[in-house]
Amino acid sequence: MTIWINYLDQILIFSIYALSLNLLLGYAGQVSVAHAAFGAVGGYTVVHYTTTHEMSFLLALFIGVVFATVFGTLLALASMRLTVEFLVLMTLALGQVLIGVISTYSWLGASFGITTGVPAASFFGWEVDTPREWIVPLLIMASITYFICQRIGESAYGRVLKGIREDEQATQSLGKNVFRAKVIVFAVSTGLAGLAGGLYAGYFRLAKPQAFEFGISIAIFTMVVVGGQGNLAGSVLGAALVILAEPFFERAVSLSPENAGIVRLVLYGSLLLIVIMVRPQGLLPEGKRIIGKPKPPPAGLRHVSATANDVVGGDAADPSEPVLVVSGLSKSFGGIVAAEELEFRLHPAEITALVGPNGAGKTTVFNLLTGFIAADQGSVLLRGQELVGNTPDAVARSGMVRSFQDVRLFSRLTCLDNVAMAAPHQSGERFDQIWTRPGPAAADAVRARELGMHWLEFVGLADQALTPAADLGYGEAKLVALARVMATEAPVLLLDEPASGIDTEWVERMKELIARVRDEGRTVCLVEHNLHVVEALADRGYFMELGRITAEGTMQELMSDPRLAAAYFGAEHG
Amino acid sequence: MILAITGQQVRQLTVNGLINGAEFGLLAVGFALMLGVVGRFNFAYAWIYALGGYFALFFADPARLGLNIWLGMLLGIMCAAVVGVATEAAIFAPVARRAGPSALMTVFIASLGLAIIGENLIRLFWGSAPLNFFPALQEVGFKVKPIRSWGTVITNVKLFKAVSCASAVLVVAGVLRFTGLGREIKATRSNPELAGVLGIATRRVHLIVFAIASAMAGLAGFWVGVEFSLQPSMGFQALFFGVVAAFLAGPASSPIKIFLAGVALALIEQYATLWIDSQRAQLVVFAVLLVYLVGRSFDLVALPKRLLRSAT
Repeated sequence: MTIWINYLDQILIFSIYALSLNLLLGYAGQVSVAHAAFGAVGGYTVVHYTTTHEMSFLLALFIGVVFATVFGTLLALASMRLTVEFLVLMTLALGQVLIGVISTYSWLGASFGITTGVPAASFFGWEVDTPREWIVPLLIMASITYFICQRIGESAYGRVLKGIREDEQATQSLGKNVFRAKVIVFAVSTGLAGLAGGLYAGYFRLAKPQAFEFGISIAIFTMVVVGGQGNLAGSVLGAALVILAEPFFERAVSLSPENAGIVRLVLYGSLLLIVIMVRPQGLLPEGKRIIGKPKPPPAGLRHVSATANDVVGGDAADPSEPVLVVSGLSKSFGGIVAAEELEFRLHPAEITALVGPNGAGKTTVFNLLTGFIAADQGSVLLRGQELVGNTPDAVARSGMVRSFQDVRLFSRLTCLDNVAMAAPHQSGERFDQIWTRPGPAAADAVRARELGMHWLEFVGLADQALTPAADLGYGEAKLVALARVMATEAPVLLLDEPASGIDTEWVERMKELIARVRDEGRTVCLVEHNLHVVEALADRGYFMELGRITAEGTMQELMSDPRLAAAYFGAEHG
Repeated sequence: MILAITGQQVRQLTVNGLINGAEFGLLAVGFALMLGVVGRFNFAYAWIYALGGYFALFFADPARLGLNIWLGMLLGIMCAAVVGVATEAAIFAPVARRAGPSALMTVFIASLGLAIIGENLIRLFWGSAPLNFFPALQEVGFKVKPIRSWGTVITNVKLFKAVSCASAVLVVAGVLRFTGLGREIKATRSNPELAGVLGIATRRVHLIVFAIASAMAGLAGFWVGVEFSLQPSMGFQALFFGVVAAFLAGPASSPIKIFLAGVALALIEQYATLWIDSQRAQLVVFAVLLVYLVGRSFDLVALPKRLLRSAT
């Protein structure tokens, strides 16, 4: 019996590891193949302080978690701009170096670790030593971890994390501080891994390099992938499956311990491989919980429900004053001039088109305006506020949001989540507020969902609210993308090819919608190849050639100029 | 302490570094081909490497098939290539197709699973104890001899290993540079869609790349088996080095450049033993990688500004 309690304890410890990795891997789409090494930070801290400094177990555990958190924060800061393959490599190297360095110090027991003289753990004076005694404290710790991961992952905050997983730039374009979210999720994840490592060390009363090596990290990775990325219950299931594989092969199949060990590894490698091949989402797939669904509909919230009127109004002062003033904006890549001394203005509640042949640099202009590409020089004033030098998310929060030519919806999220994520000022997206003010955060989530539904209705796709964006046709996806930028409530919208590449019926709908967007008082800048759409919509236009604005006027004026028409169509066909 | 270093020591370390570096460089080239051309972060490459050695021993060991050792080597390399191609065709390609945009990550996970399975299958078939080629070498009258020059000592086996690995890289570099196949591989690497439009059968190119990379790993696995012994987990340490070298040089670089990165890493590791014990010397390599990655990630100039902005 004791042996089974032993396995139960191990499942609980590894559940904490797996939950912490799932938050990082499943929700935020970041990779760590060194989670056991982060556990080592906690484990060695616990063993060192309780043994040589006779510190109480809980305090040592707390310090271990703090160390691991600091470590994770530094890692996150150091890997901020790395792509997946480099992140794999980074954590791989970090894990090796960490374990390698630990095992050089004799005061940490060198390569044998600290295995003797470690006192039994105690929680508030209650000494726990036998596996049976450990069940309750481990259960409590695992529950706390589950709660933390659930609160982060299944909230508006978790939705932003999933946005980062699906498309970091698109998340940023909606005004979310991707940088901060990534640092925080790394810190929390490694801190919880430190907790697991500390508990492991307290439970076995030892800390040795082998307990935290690469193979263990891979086992944790397996638990998350097999259980289901983005599903917390799956991580617990995965931990149970991987841990129980050992007794299963030793007892049920009655192999010799040596062969059982090998067969177990073959089987758990196969489990990983089969799951990836046959059921990549894992045994328990990611939940489809609707964030912000009112449990009983909270009273008194209706007044904040979305109407487009309180979106723009307010400071929409003099209609003759331009909302956006661009002057002297330039950018060159090496010797190639992508934008040269651009000067243009957007007037409130007007549609301004940016037209020109392919390669004229129209999308580059959007990238420059929104901070996705840093301008060499020049100024972008949005209602008097200088935007050059700001990050894309800061630009979006200032009130100018762009869409993408290639749509870039968050493909594994529902249409509703795609649009609701765009809602501004969600306190549930603030890490501190999901803990200190869960009530308002939940209320905000309801508001965001309602706002999301409102704009889905606006584009006529309310019936697709719960469809994953990946399942949409191209035309529908473009409409959801329009709903998404609308939901940011930004007064200035930069629409990149909203009607290109979609069927005629959708083009007509899109045209109508963009006209309505303007009629609601928003300012639109449009890049569009479909001239029929541009001519029907644009109040004025700028003509771009090779990174320069060469003409300005109404669309009729621009298109009746034979030189421009030749430049446009000549380049189109040449 | 630095005064205690003799020229003879440095020369010996240099020679050791060049010999190990040839092996790491070879693995780096193979790994980079799979990553750069096919887009596979293939951790199971370590297994293919070990498999080359084990198959060669299976064919050459007098207690098994007892073929001539050089024939065994060729067959081992061929088996490694066949298994490598099979992993791509049966596992990585379908997995990647299903995973779409997250293919790289998914294939990495699949390759981890495969690496675990592979290593333990070797344990089941051949046992966990180290195996060596001595009986097979005796059959052909091959003797391990020391070679001395410039005050350094190496064995003829080490020299053969280094020369074979370097030649293999030269051959691959030559194929990439001068043949039609090489042009197809490079076209697929730089723009797979365009390559497909131009009539290049990219699926075929992927399989050929896996065959080349796996054969290279098999060659290295054989020589390391002759040099030391075969062990089921032998590939991982060498692959770590290879991966690091591939990334330092850039997975889309020329084979020669990647190979030289591998050699440079091995030299760094060897020279590090002047100051720290050899077990820890490999940490230096990872430290080099960390510095590189941090430098790549940090825009040191822009960072304070970024932090400031995210605070507001």
